[in-house]
Amino acid sequence: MTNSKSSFSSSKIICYYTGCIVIGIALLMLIPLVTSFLLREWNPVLDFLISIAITTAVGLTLIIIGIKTRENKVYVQWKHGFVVAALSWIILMVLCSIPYRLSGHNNSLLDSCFDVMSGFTTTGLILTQDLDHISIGLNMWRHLLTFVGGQGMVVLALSFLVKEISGAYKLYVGEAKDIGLVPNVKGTARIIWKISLVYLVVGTLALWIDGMLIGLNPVSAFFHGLFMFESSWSTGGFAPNSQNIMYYHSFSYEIITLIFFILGSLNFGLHYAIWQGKKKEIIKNIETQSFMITAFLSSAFAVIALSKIYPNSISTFRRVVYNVLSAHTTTGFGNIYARQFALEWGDFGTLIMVIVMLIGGSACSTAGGFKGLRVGIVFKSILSDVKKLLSSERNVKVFKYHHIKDYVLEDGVVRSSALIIICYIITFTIGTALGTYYGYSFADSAFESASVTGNVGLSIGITSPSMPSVMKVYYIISMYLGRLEFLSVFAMVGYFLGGIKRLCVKIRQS
Amino acid sequence: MQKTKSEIVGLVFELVAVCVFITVLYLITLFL
Repeated sequence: MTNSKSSFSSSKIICYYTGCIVIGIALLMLIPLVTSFLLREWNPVLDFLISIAITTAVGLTLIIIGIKTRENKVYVQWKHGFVVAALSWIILMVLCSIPYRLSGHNNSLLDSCFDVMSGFTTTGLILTQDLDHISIGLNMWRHLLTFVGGQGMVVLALSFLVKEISGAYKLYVGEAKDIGLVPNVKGTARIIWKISLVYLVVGTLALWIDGMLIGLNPVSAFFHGLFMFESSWSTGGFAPNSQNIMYYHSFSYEIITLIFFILGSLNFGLHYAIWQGKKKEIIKNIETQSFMITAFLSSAFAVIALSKIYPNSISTFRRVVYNVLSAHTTTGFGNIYARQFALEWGDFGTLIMVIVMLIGGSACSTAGGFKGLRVGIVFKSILSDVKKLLSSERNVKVFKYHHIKDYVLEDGVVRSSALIIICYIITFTIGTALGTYYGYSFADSAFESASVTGNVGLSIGITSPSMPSVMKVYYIISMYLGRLEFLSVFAMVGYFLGGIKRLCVKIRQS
Repeated sequence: MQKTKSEIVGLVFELVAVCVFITVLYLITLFL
Protein backbone atom coordinates (compact mmCIF):
# COMPACT_ATOMS: atom_id res chain seq x y z
CA MET A 1 0.00 0.00 0.00
CA THR A 2 2.81 2.40 0.98
CA ASN A 3 4.67 1.50 -2.21
CA SER A 4 1.72 2.30 -4.43
CA LYS A 5 1.15 5.62 -2.61
CA SER A 6 4.77 6.71 -2.97
CA SER A 7 4.75 5.68 -6.63
CA PHE A 8 1.59 7.71 -7.18
CA SER A 9 3.06 10.86 -5.65
CA SER A 10 6.35 10.27 -7.49
CA SER A 11 4.43 10.21 -10.77
CA LYS A 12 2.86 13.56 -9.89
CA ILE A 13 6.22 15.12 -9.04
CA ILE A 14 7.68 13.82 -12.32
CA CYS A 15 4.66 15.05 -14.32
CA TYR A 16 4.80 18.51 -12.74
CA TYR A 17 8.46 19.23 -13.44
CA THR A 18 8.38 17.57 -16.88
CA GLY A 19 5.37 19.80 -17.66
CA CYS A 20 7.33 22.91 -16.60
CA ILE A 21 10.18 21.97 -18.95
CA VAL A 22 7.72 21.29 -21.80
CA ILE A 23 6.11 24.73 -21.27
CA GLY A 24 9.61 26.24 -21.38
CA ILE A 25 10.16 24.73 -24.82
CA ALA A 26 6.72 25.93 -25.99
CA LEU A 27 7.81 29.46 -25.03
CA LEU A 28 11.09 28.94 -26.88
CA MET A 29 9.12 28.19 -30.05
CA LEU A 30 7.99 31.82 -29.99
CA ILE A 31 11.47 32.85 -31.23
CA PRO A 32 11.30 31.00 -34.59
CA LEU A 33 7.62 31.96 -34.83
CA VAL A 34 8.45 35.68 -34.54
CA THR A 35 11.43 35.25 -36.91
CA SER A 36 9.22 33.63 -39.54
CA PHE A 37 6.54 36.27 -39.01
CA LEU A 38 8.99 39.16 -39.48
CA LEU A 39 10.46 37.52 -42.58
CA ARG A 40 6.94 36.80 -43.92
CA GLU A 41 7.49 33.04 -44.12
CA TRP A 42 3.83 32.18 -43.72
CA ASN A 43 4.03 28.39 -43.95
CA PRO A 44 6.57 28.13 -41.09
CA VAL A 45 4.41 30.60 -39.08
CA LEU A 46 1.54 28.12 -39.34
CA ASP A 47 3.87 25.18 -38.53
CA PHE A 48 5.09 26.87 -35.35
CA LEU A 49 1.59 27.95 -34.28
CA ILE A 50 0.42 24.32 -34.51
CA SER A 51 3.55 23.11 -32.67
CA ILE A 52 3.14 25.69 -29.90
CA ALA A 53 -0.52 24.72 -29.42
CA ILE A 54 0.28 21.00 -29.14
CA THR A 55 3.33 21.53 -26.90
CA THR A 56 1.44 23.89 -24.58
CA ALA A 57 -1.46 21.43 -24.33
CA VAL A 58 0.90 18.59 -23.39
CA GLY A 59 2.80 20.78 -20.90
CA LEU A 60 -0.33 22.07 -19.20
CA THR A 61 -1.81 18.56 -18.97
CA LEU A 62 1.33 17.32 -17.23
CA ILE A 63 1.35 20.32 -14.85
CA ILE A 64 -2.35 19.84 -14.01
CA ILE A 65 -1.74 16.13 -13.25
CA GLY A 66 1.04 17.06 -10.84
CA ILE A 67 -0.32 20.39 -9.55
CA LYS A 68 -0.44 19.06 -5.96
CA THR A 69 3.36 18.93 -6.04
CA ARG A 70 3.42 22.71 -6.11
CA GLU A 71 0.74 23.12 -3.46
CA ASN A 72 2.33 20.63 -1.06
CA LYS A 73 5.96 21.70 -1.78
CA VAL A 74 7.01 18.06 -2.13
CA TYR A 75 10.67 17.21 -1.66
CA VAL A 76 12.39 16.12 -4.88
CA GLN A 77 14.38 12.91 -4.53
CA TRP A 78 17.31 11.73 -6.66
CA LYS A 79 15.10 9.33 -8.63
CA HIS A 80 12.71 12.18 -9.50
CA GLY A 81 15.55 14.36 -10.79
CA PHE A 82 16.96 11.63 -12.99
CA VAL A 83 13.58 10.50 -14.34
CA VAL A 84 12.43 14.09 -15.07
CA ALA A 85 15.64 14.80 -17.02
CA ALA A 86 15.53 11.57 -19.01
CA LEU A 87 11.76 11.68 -19.65
CA SER A 88 11.76 15.36 -20.67
CA TRP A 89 14.30 14.69 -23.39
CA ILE A 90 12.11 11.95 -24.92
CA ILE A 91 8.87 13.97 -24.75
CA LEU A 92 10.62 17.06 -26.12
CA MET A 93 12.19 15.07 -28.94
CA VAL A 94 8.69 14.22 -30.23
CA LEU A 95 7.17 17.67 -29.60
CA CYS A 96 10.09 19.61 -31.10
CA SER A 97 10.03 17.44 -34.23
CA ILE A 98 6.54 18.74 -35.18
CA PRO A 99 7.85 21.87 -37.04
CA TYR A 100 10.38 19.65 -38.86
CA ARG A 101 7.73 17.19 -39.94
CA LEU A 102 5.28 19.92 -40.98
CA SER A 103 7.98 21.63 -43.08
CA GLY A 104 8.05 18.64 -45.44
CA HIS A 105 11.85 18.40 -45.37
CA ASN A 106 11.83 15.00 -43.64
CA ASN A 107 10.65 11.68 -45.04
CA SER A 108 9.12 10.50 -41.78
CA LEU A 109 8.53 11.39 -38.13
CA LEU A 110 11.49 9.12 -37.29
CA ASP A 111 13.77 11.29 -39.44
CA SER A 112 12.41 14.43 -37.74
CA CYS A 113 12.97 12.88 -34.29
CA PHE A 114 16.52 11.93 -35.35
CA ASP A 115 17.29 15.54 -36.30
CA VAL A 116 15.79 16.90 -33.08
CA MET A 117 17.72 14.45 -30.91
CA SER A 118 20.83 15.29 -32.92
CA GLY A 119 20.21 18.98 -32.18
CA PHE A 120 19.38 18.56 -28.48
CA THR A 121 22.39 16.36 -27.85
CA THR A 122 24.59 18.79 -29.83
CA THR A 123 25.54 15.97 -32.20
CA GLY A 124 24.91 17.64 -35.56
CA LEU A 125 24.09 14.71 -37.84
CA ILE A 126 21.14 15.45 -40.12
CA LEU A 127 18.52 13.62 -42.13
CA THR A 128 16.78 16.81 -43.25
CA GLN A 129 16.64 17.01 -47.03
CA ASP A 130 17.21 20.01 -49.27
CA LEU A 131 18.83 21.90 -46.39
CA ASP A 132 19.78 24.82 -48.64
CA HIS A 133 16.12 25.69 -49.17
CA ILE A 134 14.64 25.43 -45.69
CA SER A 135 13.07 28.54 -44.16
CA ILE A 136 15.03 30.88 -41.88
CA GLY A 137 12.41 30.18 -39.20
CA LEU A 138 13.15 26.43 -39.26
CA ASN A 139 16.88 27.15 -39.37
CA MET A 140 16.42 29.36 -36.31
CA TRP A 141 14.62 26.47 -34.60
CA ARG A 142 17.34 23.93 -35.51
CA HIS A 143 20.13 26.11 -34.15
CA LEU A 144 18.15 27.21 -31.12
CA LEU A 145 17.60 23.56 -30.21
CA THR A 146 21.30 22.84 -30.38
CA PHE A 147 22.11 26.00 -28.37
CA VAL A 148 19.58 25.15 -25.65
CA GLY A 149 20.57 21.47 -25.71
CA GLY A 150 24.18 22.44 -25.07
CA GLN A 151 23.28 24.38 -21.96
CA GLY A 152 20.59 21.86 -21.00
CA MET A 153 16.82 22.04 -21.05
CA VAL A 154 16.55 21.41 -17.31
CA VAL A 155 19.09 24.19 -16.72
CA LEU A 156 16.91 26.48 -18.86
CA ALA A 157 13.77 25.59 -16.92
CA LEU A 158 15.54 26.00 -13.57
CA SER A 159 16.89 29.39 -14.62
CA PHE A 160 13.72 31.01 -15.79
CA LEU A 161 10.63 28.96 -14.96
CA VAL A 162 10.89 26.85 -11.81
CA LYS A 163 10.99 28.70 -8.51
CA GLU A 164 13.74 27.62 -6.10
CA ILE A 165 12.69 24.19 -4.89
CA SER A 166 14.04 21.84 -2.30
CA GLY A 167 16.13 19.24 -4.10
CA ALA A 168 16.47 21.25 -7.34
CA TYR A 169 20.08 20.07 -7.50
CA LYS A 170 18.80 16.57 -8.31
CA LEU A 171 17.01 17.80 -11.43
CA TYR A 172 20.15 19.59 -12.47
CA VAL A 173 22.47 16.61 -11.92
CA GLY A 174 20.00 14.44 -13.84
CA GLU A 175 21.05 16.29 -16.98
CA ALA A 176 24.74 15.48 -16.42
CA LYS A 177 25.54 18.99 -15.19
CA ASP A 178 26.98 18.25 -11.81
CA ILE A 179 29.00 21.28 -10.86
CA GLY A 180 27.85 23.80 -8.28
CA LEU A 181 29.21 27.23 -9.24
CA VAL A 182 27.37 28.87 -6.35
CA PRO A 183 25.53 27.17 -3.45
CA ASN A 184 22.18 28.04 -5.01
CA VAL A 185 21.24 25.77 -7.98
CA LYS A 186 19.15 28.45 -9.65
CA GLY A 187 22.15 30.78 -9.37
CA THR A 188 24.40 28.14 -10.98
CA ALA A 189 21.93 27.67 -13.84
CA ARG A 190 21.78 31.44 -14.37
CA ILE A 191 25.60 31.71 -14.41
CA ILE A 192 25.72 29.02 -17.12
CA TRP A 193 23.25 31.05 -19.19
CA LYS A 194 25.04 34.33 -18.50
CA ILE A 195 28.37 32.93 -19.78
CA SER A 196 26.65 31.49 -22.87
CA LEU A 197 24.73 34.68 -23.65
CA VAL A 198 27.82 36.90 -23.28
CA TYR A 199 29.67 34.64 -25.71
CA LEU A 200 26.60 34.63 -27.97
CA VAL A 201 26.92 38.41 -28.39
CA VAL A 202 30.73 38.35 -28.85
CA GLY A 203 30.73 35.35 -31.21
CA THR A 204 27.79 36.43 -33.36
CA LEU A 205 29.34 39.89 -33.73
CA ALA A 206 32.71 38.43 -34.81
CA LEU A 207 31.11 36.06 -37.34
CA TRP A 208 28.71 38.77 -38.58
CA ILE A 209 31.60 41.14 -39.35
CA ASP A 210 33.65 38.35 -40.92
CA GLY A 211 30.62 37.22 -42.94
CA MET A 212 30.29 40.69 -44.43
CA LEU A 213 34.03 40.79 -45.16
CA ILE A 214 33.81 37.55 -47.13
CA GLY A 215 30.97 38.90 -49.24
CA LEU A 216 27.66 38.03 -47.56
CA ASN A 217 25.03 40.77 -47.41
CA PRO A 218 24.50 42.22 -43.88
CA VAL A 219 21.21 40.42 -43.13
CA SER A 220 22.45 37.09 -44.44
CA ALA A 221 25.80 37.55 -42.64
CA PHE A 222 23.92 38.17 -39.39
CA PHE A 223 21.83 35.00 -39.61
CA HIS A 224 24.84 32.92 -40.72
CA GLY A 225 26.88 34.42 -37.86
CA LEU A 226 24.16 33.70 -35.30
CA PHE A 227 23.56 30.13 -36.49
CA MET A 228 27.24 29.26 -36.82
CA PHE A 229 28.00 30.71 -33.38
CA GLU A 230 25.18 28.71 -31.78
CA SER A 231 26.55 25.57 -33.41
CA SER A 232 30.15 26.34 -32.47
CA TRP A 233 29.53 27.25 -28.84
CA SER A 234 27.21 24.28 -28.32
CA THR A 235 29.75 22.03 -30.07
CA GLY A 236 26.76 21.14 -32.23
CA GLY A 237 27.90 21.03 -35.83
CA PHE A 238 24.69 22.16 -37.52
CA ALA A 239 25.06 24.69 -40.32
CA PRO A 240 22.40 26.57 -42.29
CA ASN A 241 23.54 24.91 -45.54
CA SER A 242 24.36 21.44 -46.79
CA GLN A 243 28.08 22.23 -47.33
CA ASN A 244 28.54 22.90 -43.61
CA ILE A 245 31.61 25.09 -42.88
CA MET A 246 32.92 24.48 -46.44
CA TYR A 247 30.19 26.82 -47.74
CA TYR A 248 32.18 29.87 -46.59
CA HIS A 249 35.54 28.94 -48.20
CA SER A 250 37.14 31.15 -45.58
CA PHE A 251 40.13 30.54 -43.31
CA SER A 252 39.12 33.44 -41.05
CA TYR A 253 35.58 32.04 -40.65
CA GLU A 254 37.06 28.64 -39.76
CA ILE A 255 39.44 30.18 -37.18
CA ILE A 256 36.62 32.11 -35.48
CA THR A 257 34.46 28.99 -35.24
CA LEU A 258 37.51 27.05 -33.99
CA ILE A 259 38.02 29.55 -31.15
CA PHE A 260 34.40 29.34 -30.06
CA PHE A 261 34.02 25.58 -30.26
CA ILE A 262 37.17 25.10 -28.17
CA LEU A 263 35.75 27.56 -25.63
CA GLY A 264 32.39 25.80 -25.77
CA SER A 265 34.02 22.47 -24.97
CA LEU A 266 35.47 23.83 -21.71
CA ASN A 267 33.81 23.31 -18.35
CA PHE A 268 31.41 26.07 -17.24
CA GLY A 269 33.14 25.88 -13.86
CA LEU A 270 36.42 26.76 -15.56
CA HIS A 271 34.86 29.73 -17.39
CA TYR A 272 33.38 30.95 -14.12
CA ALA A 273 36.67 30.53 -12.23
CA ILE A 274 38.56 32.52 -14.90
CA TRP A 275 35.90 35.21 -14.91
CA GLN A 276 36.34 35.39 -11.14
CA GLY A 277 40.05 36.13 -11.63
CA LYS A 278 41.47 32.60 -11.11
CA LYS A 279 43.47 32.61 -14.36
CA LYS A 280 45.93 29.89 -13.30
CA GLU A 281 43.03 27.45 -13.34
CA ILE A 282 43.44 27.08 -17.10
CA ILE A 283 46.85 25.43 -16.55
CA LYS A 284 46.21 23.67 -13.23
CA ASN A 285 42.87 22.05 -14.08
CA ILE A 286 43.10 18.30 -14.77
CA GLU A 287 40.57 18.68 -17.62
CA THR A 288 42.48 21.33 -19.56
CA GLN A 289 45.72 19.40 -18.99
CA SER A 290 44.07 16.24 -20.33
CA PHE A 291 42.55 18.14 -23.31
CA MET A 292 45.84 19.83 -24.20
CA ILE A 293 47.80 16.56 -24.11
CA THR A 294 45.28 14.60 -26.20
CA ALA A 295 44.71 17.51 -28.62
CA PHE A 296 48.45 18.03 -29.21
CA LEU A 297 49.15 14.29 -29.57
CA SER A 298 46.21 13.55 -31.88
CA SER A 299 46.89 16.63 -34.04
CA ALA A 300 50.61 15.81 -34.28
CA PHE A 301 49.99 12.15 -35.25
CA ALA A 302 47.32 13.16 -37.77
CA VAL A 303 49.60 15.83 -39.30
CA ILE A 304 52.50 13.35 -39.58
CA ALA A 305 50.24 10.75 -41.23
CA LEU A 306 48.29 13.06 -43.54
CA SER A 307 50.55 15.98 -44.42
CA LYS A 308 51.51 14.23 -47.70
CA ILE A 309 47.92 14.59 -48.93
CA TYR A 310 47.86 18.38 -48.63
CA PRO A 311 50.12 20.83 -50.52
CA ASN A 312 51.21 23.16 -47.67
CA SER A 313 51.06 23.77 -43.92
CA ILE A 314 48.03 26.12 -44.09
CA SER A 315 46.10 23.53 -46.07
CA THR A 316 47.18 20.76 -43.66
CA PHE A 317 46.17 22.88 -40.67
CA ARG A 318 42.78 23.70 -42.19
CA ARG A 319 41.94 20.16 -43.33
CA VAL A 320 43.64 18.03 -40.65
CA VAL A 321 43.99 19.99 -37.38
CA TYR A 322 40.61 21.72 -37.80
CA ASN A 323 38.80 18.40 -38.31
CA VAL A 324 40.70 16.67 -35.48
CA LEU A 325 39.80 19.51 -33.08
CA SER A 326 36.24 19.57 -34.38
CA ALA A 327 36.05 15.84 -33.55
CA HIS A 328 37.84 16.20 -30.19
CA THR A 329 35.58 19.00 -28.98
CA THR A 330 32.64 16.94 -30.37
CA THR A 331 31.58 19.84 -32.60
CA GLY A 332 31.28 18.13 -35.96
CA PHE A 333 32.04 20.96 -38.38
CA GLY A 334 33.72 19.28 -41.33
CA ASN A 335 35.63 21.11 -44.04
CA ILE A 336 36.20 18.02 -46.16
CA TYR A 337 33.53 15.82 -47.73
CA ALA A 338 32.32 12.83 -45.69
CA ARG A 339 33.81 10.21 -48.03
CA GLN A 340 37.22 11.90 -47.95
CA PHE A 341 37.67 10.59 -44.40
CA ALA A 342 37.40 7.05 -45.74
CA LEU A 343 39.05 7.48 -49.12
CA GLU A 344 41.88 9.93 -48.33
CA TRP A 345 42.54 9.68 -44.60
CA GLY A 346 42.73 5.89 -44.51
CA ASP A 347 42.56 3.60 -41.47
CA PHE A 348 45.10 5.48 -39.33
CA GLY A 349 43.33 8.82 -39.83
CA THR A 350 39.99 7.15 -39.05
CA LEU A 351 41.44 5.57 -35.88
CA ILE A 352 42.67 8.95 -34.58
CA MET A 353 39.25 10.46 -35.25
CA VAL A 354 37.44 7.58 -33.48
CA ILE A 355 39.65 7.95 -30.39
CA VAL A 356 39.27 11.73 -30.08
CA MET A 357 35.52 11.57 -30.79
CA LEU A 358 35.09 9.11 -27.92
CA ILE A 359 37.23 11.17 -25.52
CA GLY A 360 35.31 14.39 -26.24
CA GLY A 361 35.47 17.67 -24.34
CA SER A 362 35.00 18.70 -20.70
CA ALA A 363 32.42 17.58 -18.16
CA CYS A 364 29.69 20.15 -17.48
CA SER A 365 30.29 21.81 -20.81
CA THR A 366 28.34 21.68 -24.05
CA ALA A 367 30.60 18.87 -25.35
CA GLY A 368 29.98 15.12 -25.49
CA GLY A 369 32.22 12.07 -25.27
CA PHE A 370 33.34 10.41 -22.05
CA LYS A 371 35.15 13.64 -21.15
CA GLY A 372 38.70 14.69 -20.43
CA LEU A 373 38.03 14.77 -16.69
CA ARG A 374 37.38 11.03 -16.60
CA VAL A 375 40.39 10.28 -18.81
CA GLY A 376 42.52 12.39 -16.46
CA ILE A 377 41.16 10.68 -13.32
CA VAL A 378 41.64 7.15 -14.68
CA PHE A 379 45.13 7.98 -15.98
CA LYS A 380 46.09 9.57 -12.65
CA SER A 381 44.78 6.55 -10.72
CA ILE A 382 46.91 4.20 -12.87
CA LEU A 383 49.89 6.46 -12.20
CA SER A 384 49.19 6.51 -8.44
CA ASP A 385 48.84 2.70 -8.36
CA VAL A 386 52.24 2.35 -10.04
CA LYS A 387 53.76 4.84 -7.57
CA LYS A 388 52.24 2.89 -4.65
CA LEU A 389 53.76 -0.33 -5.98
CA LEU A 390 57.19 1.24 -6.26
CA SER A 391 57.17 3.08 -2.92
CA SER A 392 57.71 1.63 0.52
CA GLU A 393 54.72 -0.15 2.05
CA ARG A 394 55.00 2.07 5.15
CA ASN A 395 54.40 5.20 3.10
CA VAL A 396 50.78 6.22 3.00
CA LYS A 397 50.46 8.85 0.31
CA VAL A 398 47.25 10.65 -0.57
CA PHE A 399 46.89 11.37 -4.28
CA LYS A 400 44.97 14.42 -5.42
CA TYR A 401 43.75 16.03 -8.61
CA HIS A 402 42.82 19.62 -9.28
CA HIS A 403 39.48 20.50 -10.81
CA ILE A 404 38.50 24.03 -9.72
CA LYS A 405 39.63 22.92 -6.25
CA ASP A 406 41.74 20.03 -4.95
CA TYR A 407 40.05 16.63 -4.65
CA VAL A 408 41.40 13.43 -3.12
CA LEU A 409 41.64 10.67 -5.72
CA GLU A 410 39.22 8.26 -4.03
CA ASP A 411 38.41 4.77 -5.27
CA GLY A 412 34.73 5.69 -5.69
CA VAL A 413 35.55 8.54 -8.09
CA VAL A 414 37.87 6.32 -10.13
CA ARG A 415 35.26 3.53 -10.21
CA SER A 416 32.43 5.80 -11.39
CA SER A 417 34.69 7.38 -14.03
CA ALA A 418 35.78 3.97 -15.31
CA LEU A 419 32.16 2.76 -15.28
CA ILE A 420 30.98 5.65 -17.49
CA ILE A 421 33.90 5.06 -19.89
CA ILE A 422 32.94 1.35 -20.11
CA CYS A 423 29.29 2.29 -20.81
CA TYR A 424 30.43 4.57 -23.65
CA ILE A 425 32.63 1.83 -25.11
CA ILE A 426 29.81 -0.74 -24.94
CA THR A 427 27.41 1.68 -26.71
CA PHE A 428 30.06 2.43 -29.33
CA THR A 429 30.79 -1.29 -29.87
CA ILE A 430 27.10 -2.17 -30.36
CA GLY A 431 26.78 0.70 -32.87
CA THR A 432 29.84 -0.53 -34.76
CA ALA A 433 28.51 -4.09 -34.81
CA LEU A 434 25.13 -2.87 -36.09
CA GLY A 435 26.82 -0.95 -38.91
CA THR A 436 28.83 -3.98 -40.01
CA TYR A 437 25.66 -6.14 -39.79
CA TYR A 438 23.98 -3.83 -42.31
CA GLY A 439 26.89 -4.15 -44.71
CA TYR A 440 29.01 -1.07 -44.00
CA SER A 441 32.78 -1.51 -43.61
CA PHE A 442 34.23 -1.89 -40.11
CA ALA A 443 36.12 1.43 -40.27
CA ASP A 444 33.06 3.34 -41.54
CA SER A 445 30.80 1.74 -38.90
CA ALA A 446 33.28 2.56 -36.11
CA PHE A 447 33.64 6.18 -37.28
CA GLU A 448 29.88 6.76 -37.43
CA SER A 449 29.25 4.94 -34.15
CA ALA A 450 31.92 7.01 -32.35
CA SER A 451 30.37 10.14 -33.86
CA VAL A 452 26.89 9.41 -32.45
CA THR A 453 28.08 8.02 -29.10
CA GLY A 454 30.37 11.00 -28.52
CA ASN A 455 27.72 13.48 -29.79
CA VAL A 456 30.12 14.70 -32.46
CA GLY A 457 28.25 14.89 -35.77
CA LEU A 458 30.98 14.20 -38.31
CA SER A 459 29.87 11.64 -40.83
CA ILE A 460 31.76 9.24 -43.02
CA GLY A 461 28.73 8.85 -45.25
CA ILE A 462 26.54 6.34 -43.41
CA THR A 463 23.99 8.76 -41.95
CA SER A 464 21.44 9.50 -44.65
CA PRO A 465 17.65 9.28 -45.02
CA SER A 466 18.11 5.94 -46.81
CA MET A 467 19.94 4.16 -43.99
CA PRO A 468 18.06 1.34 -42.22
CA SER A 469 15.44 2.46 -39.67
CA VAL A 470 16.96 0.18 -37.02
CA MET A 471 20.20 2.13 -37.31
CA LYS A 472 18.34 5.44 -37.08
CA VAL A 473 16.64 4.26 -33.87
CA TYR A 474 19.91 2.97 -32.41
CA TYR A 475 21.72 6.21 -33.28
CA ILE A 476 18.93 8.19 -31.53
CA ILE A 477 19.34 6.00 -28.42
CA SER A 478 23.11 6.30 -28.65
CA MET A 479 23.04 10.11 -28.87
CA TYR A 480 20.58 10.25 -25.97
CA LEU A 481 22.59 7.89 -23.74
CA GLY A 482 25.84 9.68 -24.56
CA ARG A 483 24.43 13.08 -23.75
CA LEU A 484 22.77 12.17 -20.45
CA GLU A 485 25.76 10.01 -19.49
CA PHE A 486 23.67 6.86 -18.92
CA LEU A 487 22.72 7.30 -15.26
CA SER A 488 19.46 9.24 -15.79
CA VAL A 489 18.30 6.87 -18.52
CA PHE A 490 19.07 3.81 -16.37
CA ALA A 491 17.16 5.44 -13.49
CA MET A 492 14.17 6.11 -15.77
CA VAL A 493 14.14 2.54 -17.11
CA GLY A 494 14.43 1.20 -13.53
CA TYR A 495 11.61 3.47 -12.39
CA PHE A 496 9.23 2.32 -15.13
CA LEU A 497 10.18 -1.36 -14.73
CA GLY A 498 9.51 -1.00 -10.99
CA GLY A 499 6.09 0.50 -11.81
CA ILE A 500 5.25 -2.35 -14.19
CA LYS A 501 6.36 -4.92 -11.58
CA ARG A 502 4.12 -3.34 -8.93
CA LEU A 503 1.21 -3.27 -11.38
CA CYS A 504 1.70 -6.98 -12.19
CA VAL A 505 1.75 -7.86 -8.47
CA LYS A 506 -1.45 -5.83 -7.96
CA ILE A 507 -3.21 -7.57 -10.87
CA ARG A 508 -2.13 -10.99 -9.60
CA GLN A 509 -3.39 -10.20 -6.07
CA SER A 510 -6.77 -8.98 -7.33
CA MET B 1 31.81 47.50 -11.28
CA GLN B 2 34.82 45.52 -10.04
CA LYS B 3 32.94 42.29 -10.80
CA THR B 4 32.12 43.37 -14.37
CA LYS B 5 35.73 44.43 -14.93
CA SER B 6 36.97 41.06 -13.68
CA GLU B 7 34.52 39.26 -15.97
CA ILE B 8 35.62 41.26 -19.04
CA VAL B 9 39.29 40.59 -18.23
CA GLY B 10 38.44 36.88 -17.82
CA LEU B 11 36.62 36.82 -21.17
CA VAL B 12 39.55 38.47 -22.99
CA PHE B 13 42.00 36.15 -21.20
CA GLU B 14 40.08 33.09 -22.38
CA LEU B 15 39.99 34.34 -25.98
CA VAL B 16 43.73 35.08 -25.93
CA ALA B 17 44.54 31.70 -24.31
CA VAL B 18 42.63 29.81 -27.02
CA CYS B 19 44.33 31.88 -29.74
CA VAL B 20 47.74 30.96 -28.25
CA PHE B 21 46.70 27.29 -28.18
CA ILE B 22 45.69 27.44 -31.86
CA THR B 23 48.95 29.21 -32.78
CA VAL B 24 50.98 26.47 -31.07
CA LEU B 25 49.03 23.85 -33.01
CA TYR B 26 49.74 25.73 -36.23
CA LEU B 27 53.47 25.84 -35.38
CA ILE B 28 53.39 22.07 -34.78
CA THR B 29 51.81 21.66 -38.23
CA LEU B 30 54.44 23.92 -39.75
CA PHE B 31 57.42 22.07 -38.29
CA LEU B 32 56.23 18.46 -38.57
